[in-house]
Amino acid sequence: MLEIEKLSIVLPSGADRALAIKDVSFSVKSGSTLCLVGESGSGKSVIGQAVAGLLPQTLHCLKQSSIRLGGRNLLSLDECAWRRIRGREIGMVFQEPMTALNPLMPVGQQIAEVYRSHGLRLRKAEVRDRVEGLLERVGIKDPARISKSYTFRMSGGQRQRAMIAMAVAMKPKVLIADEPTTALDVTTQRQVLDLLADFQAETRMALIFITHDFGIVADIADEVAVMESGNLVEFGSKEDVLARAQHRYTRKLLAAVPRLHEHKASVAERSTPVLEVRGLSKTYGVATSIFRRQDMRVLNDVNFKVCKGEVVALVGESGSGKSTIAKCLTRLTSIDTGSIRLDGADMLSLKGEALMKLRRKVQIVFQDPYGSLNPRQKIVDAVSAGPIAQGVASREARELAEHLLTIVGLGRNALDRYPHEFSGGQRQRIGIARALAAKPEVLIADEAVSALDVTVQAQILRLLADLRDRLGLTMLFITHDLRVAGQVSDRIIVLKAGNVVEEGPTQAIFTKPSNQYTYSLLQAIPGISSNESALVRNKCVC
Amino acid sequence: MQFLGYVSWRLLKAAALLVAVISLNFLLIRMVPGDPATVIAGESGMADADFVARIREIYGLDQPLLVQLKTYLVNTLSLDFGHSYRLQTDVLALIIERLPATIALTGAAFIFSLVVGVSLGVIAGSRPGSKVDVAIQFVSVALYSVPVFWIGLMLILVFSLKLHWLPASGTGFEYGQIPGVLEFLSHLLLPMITLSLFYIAVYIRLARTSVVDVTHQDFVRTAKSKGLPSAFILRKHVLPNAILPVVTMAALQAGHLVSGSIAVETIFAWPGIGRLGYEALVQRDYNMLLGVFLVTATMVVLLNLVADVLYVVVDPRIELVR
Repeated sequence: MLEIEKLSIVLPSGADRALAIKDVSFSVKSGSTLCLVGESGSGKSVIGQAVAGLLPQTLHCLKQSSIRLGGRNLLSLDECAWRRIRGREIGMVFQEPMTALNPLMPVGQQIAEVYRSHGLRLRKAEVRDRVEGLLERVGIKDPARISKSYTFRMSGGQRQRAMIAMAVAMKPKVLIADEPTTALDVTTQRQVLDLLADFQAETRMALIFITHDFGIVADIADEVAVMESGNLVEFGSKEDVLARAQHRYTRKLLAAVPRLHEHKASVAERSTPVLEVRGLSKTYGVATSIFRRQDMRVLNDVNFKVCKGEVVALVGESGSGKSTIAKCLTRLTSIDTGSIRLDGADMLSLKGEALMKLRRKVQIVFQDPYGSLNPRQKIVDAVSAGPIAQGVASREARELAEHLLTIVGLGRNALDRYPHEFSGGQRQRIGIARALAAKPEVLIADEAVSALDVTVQAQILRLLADLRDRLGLTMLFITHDLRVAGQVSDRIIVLKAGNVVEEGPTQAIFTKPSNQYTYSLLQAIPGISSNESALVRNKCVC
Repeated sequence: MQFLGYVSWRLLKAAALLVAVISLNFLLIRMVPGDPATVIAGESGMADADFVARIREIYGLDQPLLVQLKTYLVNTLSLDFGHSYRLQTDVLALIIERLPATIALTGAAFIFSLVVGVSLGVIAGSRPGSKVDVAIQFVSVALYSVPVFWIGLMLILVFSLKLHWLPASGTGFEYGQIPGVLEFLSHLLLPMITLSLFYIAVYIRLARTSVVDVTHQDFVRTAKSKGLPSAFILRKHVLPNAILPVVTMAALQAGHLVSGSIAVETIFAWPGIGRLGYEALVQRDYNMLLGVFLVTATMVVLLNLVADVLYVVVDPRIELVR
């Protein structure tokens, strides 16, 4: 149905390579799913944009390239002909549903535009019925209300459903989905994947699914294309690629996927709790009108302990309160009721200098490695600022920074450089060095690997495991990804809407979850819904 | 209901702000070196100590400052702006007489600069890098850099003195007769353009940048992926989002315009409150100056209020909170 031949796309001069895409050929059949896999910068999204005719103006295809849909070469079309194909024959779903929808236009209207732009002469009521029918079809419960809503009032899942409704409104022959579930919670992701499969069964559309997640590949792909810096390095059926990957890059990607049930026994001395949280509650006031504020309880009587040398994972979906706990523990926000004890001392009563001393003991590594380093501060200053504030001489602090950067795998030449000279993974290493510089009792990692590519993620997780063995770190690892939690933690605490719903040793949580919610989270993990899936079965290939 | 509540809350805040402005203005004027009593005495040509003391008594200048402030506040709030020492008229009456001319000039300039500036900015921003874009940006930089008084003088020189197309000064209302609409507009044209040019430059740059920014946002790509025509995308998706920063800026600039009109009113002998204030300042006519300050401040506060309310209308994301 869709045939891509010798597709080469030229990058503007001065880019890190000459071609964004180099001589890529593959085809997708009607009714089948092709997963386009690769890390950031591999060119997988560029292929999606080229197929949808949405390449940025700075990129252009080489002459011999062709993308054929039903016999026509799409690359030879003029803008006017393209316009008739986009939205009607080729639909596209993007990664970030918040920014991919116009914030100033009700979503129903945004969907209705598709009909209008493809010349359907419909009366107002007909358009409304169609839009609402479509919204209902994509699983939105109150289509009449949502249709009139702006995106900022909708949840991430609702937005992505609306986005899908828009893309499939004209029943396209090809749907390109560019990481459509990356910004979603695991249970929502599961629902969106099911929805796409549903549509595909109904309309026999070809689905090009761009992803970095091999779990999803194992779930939905018929065929897999692996991209590495613009080259198609592997192409084949899902079974072949997952079980018998030929190319070393594919094998490296597969090896980096965090796996379940792969855990060594806990080494923690269970006796001494370093951190003890009791009855922690936190309420945010949300203004509902100018004179009324409604209280929103984000944490409700949360209790847990972290023992010395232990890694505890705090797992939950967005809105579960896991990041609020991190903020409470670092005293970056106030607390309504409850107590937090560090080494037996009450953390909440501290003020002034005592609080400063305490801050040293609890350090945090943030999610976004780009936003959490000051772009105008040299790495050495970022890492040594903490110790200097604690009274260490600046010369010693510099030596300490050098030592720590070596520990996290960056050389001493990193010292006098600025954050923009480093990749995301390297920046996260800097973030870890910065946190370690204070010699913390407890290290909090707040979604510290969520923004990273899977191979980089694996490296950072290895680094954290290594640091833990070498330095005996106590860690609270906050994540939405149960696979990551399973890989790093001794114990898992599952949060739902501000409540601890389950707590237990990692192994036990994965094999015998006692709570329904934990069970549904486990079921929603892509790649293990059927426990016999290729990925899990063949975990020893690499 | 929520909307009305919001508007009344903002009105209340605006009123409080005005009271603060009135007090501050009063205190500022009193901090200027020089005693109003000696000025008045000097004007009357009688500078002996007895006379000055009597003037102090008559005008209440012998009272403590806070008492004077209280008197001033009470008078002002009951719309008694006092008497102009120099012009020997009621301040409020004169301001009311002059205000329409200023409102006409600044209002016309405001609308003209918005329409022209935003249009040119959108034209430039929707085709970045093109010759049209470069030309418009050049014009914008030029307008931004040229001083207002110079433009005013050049316009008078070319269009009034050389070509005799347009009158060089006044409103057409002088000498007691009422001019026709065309007559008035011909008087308005040059000062309006002079006052607008700087703001046109500002709006061109703002609208251009904003359109370029919005064009690169994800939802515009989504609109394209739906197969919408590009003119439609520009109108329905880019413009409503790109106009938001312009609204913010326009609200701030609206107050600016009033002060900008001082120079223009002086050049074109336009009988508005800008010129009135300028003369009051030169002649130390404190009551008049305070009156002009107050009216200008009120206009700025009101315009900002309008902008805030307008913002809630154009951007549904603004949550109505305190």
